[in-house]
Amino acid sequence: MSVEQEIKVKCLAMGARAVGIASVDDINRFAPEGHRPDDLLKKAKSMIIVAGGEPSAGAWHAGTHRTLASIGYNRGPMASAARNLSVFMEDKYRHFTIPIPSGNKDGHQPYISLKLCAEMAGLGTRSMAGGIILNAEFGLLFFNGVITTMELEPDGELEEPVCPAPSCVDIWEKKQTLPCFLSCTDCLSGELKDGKIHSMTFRQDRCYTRAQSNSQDSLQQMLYEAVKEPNAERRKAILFGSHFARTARTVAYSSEVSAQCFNCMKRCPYVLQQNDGMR
Amino acid sequence: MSEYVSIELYEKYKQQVWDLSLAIQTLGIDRGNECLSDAEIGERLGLETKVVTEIRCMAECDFIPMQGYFDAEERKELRFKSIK
Repeated sequence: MSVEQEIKVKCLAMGARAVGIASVDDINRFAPEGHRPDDLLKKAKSMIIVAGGEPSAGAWHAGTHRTLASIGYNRGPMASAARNLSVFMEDKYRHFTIPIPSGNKDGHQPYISLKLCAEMAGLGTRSMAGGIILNAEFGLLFFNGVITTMELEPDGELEEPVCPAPSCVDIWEKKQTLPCFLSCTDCLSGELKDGKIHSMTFRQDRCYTRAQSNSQDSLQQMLYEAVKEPNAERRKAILFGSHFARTARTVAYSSEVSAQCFNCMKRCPYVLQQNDGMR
Repeated sequence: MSEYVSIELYEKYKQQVWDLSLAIQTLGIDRGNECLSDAEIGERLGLETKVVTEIRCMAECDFIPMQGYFDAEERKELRFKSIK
Protein backbone atom coordinates (compact mmCIF):
# COMPACT_ATOMS: atom_id res chain seq x y z
CA MET A 1 0.00 0.00 0.00
CA SER A 2 1.38 3.43 -0.94
CA VAL A 3 1.71 6.19 1.64
CA GLU A 4 -1.13 8.05 -0.12
CA GLN A 5 -3.39 4.99 0.14
CA GLU A 6 -2.44 4.49 3.76
CA ILE A 7 -3.41 8.07 4.58
CA LYS A 8 -6.71 7.77 2.73
CA VAL A 9 -7.64 4.54 4.50
CA LYS A 10 -6.92 6.30 7.81
CA CYS A 11 -9.14 9.25 6.84
CA LEU A 12 -12.03 6.96 5.92
CA ALA A 13 -11.60 5.16 9.25
CA MET A 14 -11.82 8.57 10.96
CA GLY A 15 -15.24 9.19 9.42
CA ALA A 16 -14.53 10.83 6.07
CA ARG A 17 -16.77 9.77 3.20
CA ALA A 18 -14.21 10.74 0.57
CA VAL A 19 -10.58 11.87 0.62
CA GLY A 20 -8.37 13.65 -1.89
CA ILE A 21 -4.84 14.98 -2.04
CA ALA A 22 -3.94 18.35 -3.56
CA SER A 23 -0.54 19.84 -4.24
CA VAL A 24 0.19 23.26 -2.79
CA ASP A 25 1.60 24.33 -6.17
CA ASP A 26 -1.76 23.60 -7.82
CA ILE A 27 -3.66 25.59 -5.18
CA ASN A 28 -1.21 28.48 -5.42
CA ARG A 29 -1.98 28.86 -9.12
CA PHE A 30 -5.36 30.29 -8.06
CA ALA A 31 -5.25 31.32 -4.38
CA PRO A 32 -4.20 34.92 -3.69
CA GLU A 33 -1.21 35.66 -1.51
CA GLY A 34 -2.15 35.52 2.15
CA HIS A 35 -4.68 32.74 1.50
CA ARG A 36 -2.28 30.01 0.36
CA PRO A 37 -1.40 26.82 2.21
CA ASP A 38 2.23 27.90 2.59
CA ASP A 39 1.08 31.16 4.17
CA LEU A 40 -0.49 29.01 6.90
CA LEU A 41 2.31 26.43 7.22
CA LYS A 42 5.84 27.27 6.11
CA LYS A 43 7.21 25.01 3.35
CA ALA A 44 3.85 23.27 2.91
CA LYS A 45 3.85 20.85 0.00
CA SER A 46 0.51 19.00 0.11
CA MET A 47 -3.00 19.12 1.46
CA ILE A 48 -5.18 16.16 2.36
CA ILE A 49 -8.85 17.09 2.08
CA VAL A 50 -11.43 15.09 3.99
CA ALA A 51 -15.05 15.28 2.91
CA GLY A 52 -18.23 14.24 4.69
CA GLY A 53 -20.69 15.44 7.28
CA GLU A 54 -23.40 15.71 4.64
CA PRO A 55 -27.11 15.58 5.52
CA SER A 56 -28.46 12.04 5.68
CA ALA A 57 -30.96 11.07 2.99
CA GLY A 58 -33.61 11.34 5.69
CA ALA A 59 -32.63 14.91 6.50
CA TRP A 60 -33.71 15.99 3.01
CA HIS A 61 -37.13 14.50 3.82
CA ALA A 62 -37.51 16.49 7.05
CA GLY A 63 -41.00 17.82 7.66
CA THR A 64 -39.90 21.41 8.10
CA HIS A 65 -37.07 23.49 6.79
CA ARG A 66 -36.02 24.37 10.30
CA THR A 67 -35.40 20.68 11.03
CA LEU A 68 -33.17 20.25 7.99
CA ALA A 69 -31.31 23.45 8.85
CA SER A 70 -30.73 22.21 12.37
CA ILE A 71 -29.38 18.76 11.46
CA GLY A 72 -28.02 19.27 7.95
CA TYR A 73 -24.55 20.30 9.00
CA ASN A 74 -22.27 19.99 11.96
CA ARG A 75 -18.85 21.56 11.97
CA GLY A 76 -17.45 18.91 14.30
CA PRO A 77 -16.86 15.62 12.44
CA MET A 78 -14.57 16.71 9.60
CA ALA A 79 -12.71 19.20 11.81
CA SER A 80 -12.16 16.39 14.30
CA ALA A 81 -10.96 14.02 11.55
CA ALA A 82 -8.51 16.67 10.34
CA ARG A 83 -7.12 17.26 13.83
CA ASN A 84 -6.65 13.52 14.38
CA LEU A 85 -5.08 13.14 10.94
CA SER A 86 -2.49 15.84 11.66
CA VAL A 87 -1.43 14.01 14.83
CA PHE A 88 -1.33 10.67 12.99
CA MET A 89 0.82 12.09 10.18
CA GLU A 90 3.31 13.78 12.48
CA ASP A 91 3.65 10.61 14.60
CA LYS A 92 3.99 8.28 11.65
CA TYR A 93 5.78 10.30 8.95
CA ARG A 94 7.53 13.01 11.00
CA HIS A 95 6.39 15.85 8.73
CA PHE A 96 4.92 19.10 10.06
CA THR A 97 1.14 18.98 9.66
CA ILE A 98 -1.66 21.34 10.71
CA PRO A 99 -5.44 21.15 10.43
CA ILE A 100 -6.80 23.78 8.04
CA PRO A 101 -8.07 26.75 10.04
CA SER A 102 -11.62 26.37 8.81
CA GLY A 103 -13.34 29.35 10.38
CA ASN A 104 -13.39 32.73 8.73
CA LYS A 105 -10.27 34.84 9.12
CA ASP A 106 -11.94 38.27 9.15
CA GLY A 107 -15.60 38.89 8.45
CA HIS A 108 -16.72 36.82 5.48
CA GLN A 109 -13.25 36.00 4.16
CA PRO A 110 -11.84 32.57 4.95
CA TYR A 111 -8.23 31.70 5.75
CA ILE A 112 -8.21 29.59 2.63
CA SER A 113 -10.84 28.54 0.11
CA LEU A 114 -11.95 25.01 1.00
CA LYS A 115 -13.81 24.92 -2.32
CA LEU A 116 -10.55 25.45 -4.19
CA CYS A 117 -8.73 22.86 -2.07
CA ALA A 118 -11.50 20.28 -2.66
CA GLU A 119 -11.41 20.96 -6.41
CA MET A 120 -7.66 20.55 -6.58
CA ALA A 121 -7.96 17.31 -4.58
CA GLY A 122 -10.37 15.89 -7.15
CA LEU A 123 -13.32 15.74 -4.77
CA GLY A 124 -15.76 17.51 -7.07
CA THR A 125 -16.28 20.55 -9.25
CA ARG A 126 -18.04 23.90 -8.95
CA SER A 127 -21.77 23.88 -9.49
CA MET A 128 -24.38 26.33 -10.70
CA ALA A 129 -25.61 26.45 -7.11
CA GLY A 130 -23.30 29.17 -5.88
CA GLY A 131 -20.17 27.29 -6.83
CA ILE A 132 -20.88 24.65 -4.18
CA ILE A 133 -18.54 21.73 -4.89
CA LEU A 134 -20.59 18.79 -6.13
CA ASN A 135 -19.33 15.25 -5.74
CA ALA A 136 -20.66 12.75 -8.28
CA GLU A 137 -21.10 10.00 -5.68
CA PHE A 138 -22.26 11.87 -2.60
CA GLY A 139 -23.63 15.15 -3.96
CA LEU A 140 -23.21 17.79 -1.26
CA LEU A 141 -20.20 17.31 1.03
CA PHE A 142 -18.49 19.48 3.62
CA PHE A 143 -14.73 19.79 3.66
CA ASN A 144 -11.84 20.08 6.03
CA GLY A 145 -8.32 18.73 5.96
CA VAL A 146 -4.67 19.18 6.77
CA ILE A 147 -1.72 21.07 5.36
CA THR A 148 1.60 19.23 5.47
CA THR A 149 5.24 19.64 4.53
CA MET A 150 5.10 16.08 3.20
CA GLU A 151 5.38 15.66 -0.57
CA LEU A 152 2.51 13.44 -1.71
CA GLU A 153 1.22 12.39 -5.11
CA PRO A 154 -1.77 14.70 -5.75
CA ASP A 155 -5.09 13.49 -7.15
CA GLY A 156 -5.49 16.73 -9.07
CA GLU A 157 -8.59 18.26 -10.62
CA LEU A 158 -11.32 16.09 -12.11
CA GLU A 159 -11.18 15.98 -15.90
CA GLU A 160 -14.94 16.22 -16.38
CA PRO A 161 -17.20 18.63 -14.48
CA VAL A 162 -19.83 17.06 -12.21
CA CYS A 163 -22.32 19.91 -12.74
CA PRO A 164 -24.50 20.13 -14.74
CA ALA A 165 -26.03 16.67 -14.42
CA PRO A 166 -27.45 15.26 -17.70
CA SER A 167 -31.02 15.72 -16.43
CA CYS A 168 -30.27 19.41 -15.70
CA VAL A 169 -28.95 19.87 -19.23
CA ASP A 170 -32.27 18.50 -20.52
CA ILE A 171 -34.23 20.90 -18.30
CA TRP A 172 -32.07 23.82 -19.42
CA GLU A 173 -32.61 23.02 -23.09
CA LYS A 174 -36.38 22.94 -22.62
CA LYS A 175 -36.92 25.69 -20.07
CA GLN A 176 -33.70 27.74 -19.71
CA THR A 177 -33.72 27.18 -15.99
CA LEU A 178 -32.33 24.69 -13.48
CA PRO A 179 -33.66 23.02 -10.31
CA CYS A 180 -31.21 25.00 -8.15
CA PHE A 181 -32.26 28.30 -9.78
CA LEU A 182 -35.94 27.55 -9.20
CA SER A 183 -35.19 26.82 -5.56
CA CYS A 184 -33.34 30.07 -5.00
CA THR A 185 -34.21 32.76 -7.49
CA ASP A 186 -32.60 35.51 -5.40
CA CYS A 187 -29.10 34.12 -4.97
CA LEU A 188 -28.44 32.22 -8.20
CA SER A 189 -28.38 32.94 -11.91
CA GLY A 190 -26.38 31.87 -14.93
CA GLU A 191 -26.35 30.05 -18.21
CA LEU A 192 -25.46 26.66 -19.66
CA LYS A 193 -24.02 26.38 -23.14
CA ASP A 194 -23.36 23.16 -25.03
CA GLY A 195 -24.17 21.17 -21.91
CA LYS A 196 -21.58 22.92 -19.74
CA ILE A 197 -21.49 25.85 -17.32
CA HIS A 198 -21.06 29.01 -19.39
CA SER A 199 -21.59 31.52 -16.60
CA MET A 200 -22.81 31.59 -13.01
CA THR A 201 -23.47 34.43 -10.61
CA PHE A 202 -23.83 33.83 -6.89
CA ARG A 203 -25.14 36.59 -4.62
CA GLN A 204 -23.32 35.70 -1.44
CA ASP A 205 -24.70 38.86 0.13
CA ARG A 206 -28.24 37.47 -0.25
CA CYS A 207 -27.35 33.88 0.58
CA TYR A 208 -25.78 35.04 3.84
CA THR A 209 -29.07 35.95 5.48
CA ARG A 210 -30.43 32.46 4.72
CA ALA A 211 -27.40 30.24 5.12
CA GLN A 212 -26.40 32.06 8.32
CA SER A 213 -29.70 33.45 9.55
CA ASN A 214 -28.73 33.13 13.21
CA SER A 215 -25.02 33.52 13.10
CA GLN A 216 -22.35 36.09 13.88
CA ASP A 217 -23.61 38.91 11.63
CA SER A 218 -27.12 38.55 12.94
CA LEU A 219 -25.79 38.78 16.51
CA GLN A 220 -23.73 41.88 15.70
CA GLN A 221 -26.66 43.62 14.01
CA MET A 222 -29.12 42.86 16.78
CA LEU A 223 -26.70 44.05 19.43
CA TYR A 224 -26.25 47.27 17.45
CA GLU A 225 -30.03 47.68 17.21
CA ALA A 226 -30.35 47.16 20.96
CA VAL A 227 -27.56 49.59 21.82
CA LYS A 228 -29.11 52.28 19.60
CA GLU A 229 -32.63 51.71 20.93
CA PRO A 230 -33.52 54.42 23.50
CA ASN A 231 -36.66 52.67 24.74
CA ALA A 232 -35.91 50.11 27.47
CA GLU A 233 -39.00 47.99 26.76
CA ARG A 234 -38.16 47.78 23.07
CA ARG A 235 -34.54 46.93 23.96
CA LYS A 236 -35.86 44.10 26.08
CA ALA A 237 -38.01 42.85 23.20
CA ILE A 238 -34.94 42.79 20.91
CA LEU A 239 -32.66 40.98 23.34
CA PHE A 240 -35.17 38.58 24.89
CA GLY A 241 -36.99 37.79 21.63
CA SER A 242 -36.82 34.47 19.80
CA HIS A 243 -34.44 35.59 17.04
CA PHE A 244 -31.81 36.88 19.43
CA ALA A 245 -32.30 33.86 21.70
CA ARG A 246 -31.67 31.45 18.83
CA THR A 247 -28.72 33.51 17.61
CA ALA A 248 -27.14 33.60 21.07
CA ARG A 249 -27.58 29.83 21.40
CA THR A 250 -26.14 29.29 17.93
CA VAL A 251 -23.03 31.27 18.77
CA ALA A 252 -22.68 29.81 22.26
CA TYR A 253 -22.96 26.18 21.20
CA SER A 254 -21.48 26.43 17.68
CA SER A 255 -24.66 24.82 16.44
CA GLU A 256 -26.59 25.93 13.36
CA VAL A 257 -23.74 28.36 12.74
CA SER A 258 -23.72 28.01 8.98
CA ALA A 259 -25.43 26.00 6.24
CA GLN A 260 -28.90 26.93 7.51
CA CYS A 261 -30.61 26.95 4.13
CA PHE A 262 -29.98 23.97 1.79
CA ASN A 263 -32.86 24.88 -0.55
CA CYS A 264 -30.63 25.19 -3.65
CA MET A 265 -29.43 21.63 -3.10
CA LYS A 266 -32.77 20.02 -2.36
CA ARG A 267 -33.61 19.15 -6.01
CA CYS A 268 -30.05 18.63 -7.21
CA PRO A 269 -29.89 15.29 -9.05
CA TYR A 270 -26.73 14.35 -7.15
CA VAL A 271 -28.58 14.83 -3.87
CA LEU A 272 -31.72 13.09 -5.10
CA GLN A 273 -29.70 10.01 -6.07
CA GLN A 274 -29.07 9.47 -2.36
CA ASN A 275 -32.72 8.40 -2.17
CA ASP A 276 -32.15 5.34 -4.36
CA GLY A 277 -33.28 2.22 -2.52
CA MET A 278 -34.37 4.19 0.57
CA ARG A 279 -37.72 3.46 2.22
CA MET B 1 -4.10 53.25 11.62
CA SER B 2 -5.77 53.53 14.98
CA GLU B 3 -7.73 50.64 16.46
CA TYR B 4 -10.86 51.53 14.48
CA VAL B 5 -11.22 52.93 11.01
CA SER B 6 -12.51 56.51 10.82
CA ILE B 7 -16.10 56.92 9.69
CA GLU B 8 -14.93 59.36 7.00
CA LEU B 9 -12.59 56.77 5.51
CA TYR B 10 -15.30 54.11 5.79
CA GLU B 11 -17.89 56.27 4.02
CA LYS B 12 -15.43 57.16 1.27
CA TYR B 13 -14.42 53.61 0.40
CA LYS B 14 -17.21 51.29 1.59
CA GLN B 15 -18.91 50.93 -1.82
CA GLN B 16 -15.67 50.30 -3.71
CA VAL B 17 -14.44 47.77 -1.15
CA TRP B 18 -17.83 46.02 -1.16
CA ASP B 19 -17.90 45.85 -4.97
CA LEU B 20 -14.45 44.24 -5.07
CA SER B 21 -15.15 41.78 -2.24
CA LEU B 22 -16.70 38.29 -2.29
CA ALA B 23 -20.26 39.68 -2.00
CA ILE B 24 -21.09 38.79 -5.61
CA GLN B 25 -19.22 35.80 -7.04
CA THR B 26 -19.09 34.65 -10.64
CA LEU B 27 -17.85 31.84 -12.84
CA GLY B 28 -17.08 32.44 -16.49
CA ILE B 29 -17.85 36.16 -16.36
CA ASP B 30 -15.13 38.78 -16.37
CA ARG B 31 -16.44 41.54 -14.13
CA GLY B 32 -13.05 43.18 -13.77
CA ASN B 33 -11.46 40.78 -11.29
CA GLU B 34 -13.87 41.26 -8.41
CA CYS B 35 -13.70 38.75 -5.53
CA LEU B 36 -10.33 40.06 -4.45
CA SER B 37 -8.50 39.50 -1.19
CA ASP B 38 -8.13 42.45 1.17
CA ALA B 39 -4.49 42.84 0.12
CA GLU B 40 -5.49 42.93 -3.55
CA ILE B 41 -8.25 45.47 -2.86
CA GLY B 42 -5.77 47.57 -0.89
CA GLU B 43 -3.36 47.54 -3.80
CA ARG B 44 -6.16 48.57 -6.19
CA LEU B 45 -7.41 51.43 -3.98
CA GLY B 46 -4.10 52.51 -2.44
CA LEU B 47 -5.11 51.48 1.09
CA GLU B 48 -3.37 49.38 3.75
CA THR B 49 -4.65 45.81 3.92
CA LYS B 50 -5.73 46.29 7.54
CA VAL B 51 -7.80 49.35 6.59
CA VAL B 52 -9.52 47.37 3.83
CA THR B 53 -10.27 44.54 6.26
CA GLU B 54 -11.91 46.95 8.70
CA ILE B 55 -13.96 48.67 5.98
CA ARG B 56 -15.06 45.32 4.49
CA CYS B 57 -16.08 43.85 7.85
CA MET B 58 -18.18 46.95 8.61
CA ALA B 59 -19.69 46.92 5.12
CA GLU B 60 -20.67 43.26 5.50
CA CYS B 61 -22.93 44.28 8.36
CA ASP B 62 -24.04 47.56 6.81
CA PHE B 63 -24.91 46.32 3.32
CA ILE B 64 -26.88 43.26 4.42
CA PRO B 65 -29.95 44.64 6.19
CA MET B 66 -31.15 43.10 9.45
CA GLN B 67 -34.60 42.63 7.96
CA GLY B 68 -33.11 40.03 5.62
CA TYR B 69 -32.18 37.87 8.61
CA PHE B 70 -35.64 38.28 10.14
CA ASP B 71 -37.40 37.40 6.88
CA ALA B 72 -35.15 34.45 6.11
CA GLU B 73 -36.91 31.81 8.21
CA GLU B 74 -40.32 32.35 6.66
CA ARG B 75 -38.87 32.63 3.16
CA LYS B 76 -36.85 29.42 3.56
CA GLU B 77 -39.81 27.51 4.99
CA LEU B 78 -42.04 28.60 2.10
CA ARG B 79 -39.43 27.61 -0.46
CA PHE B 80 -38.77 24.32 1.31
CA LYS B 81 -42.46 23.43 1.17
CA SER B 82 -42.75 24.46 -2.49
CA ILE B 83 -39.78 22.34 -3.61
CA LYS B 84 -41.28 18.89 -4.00
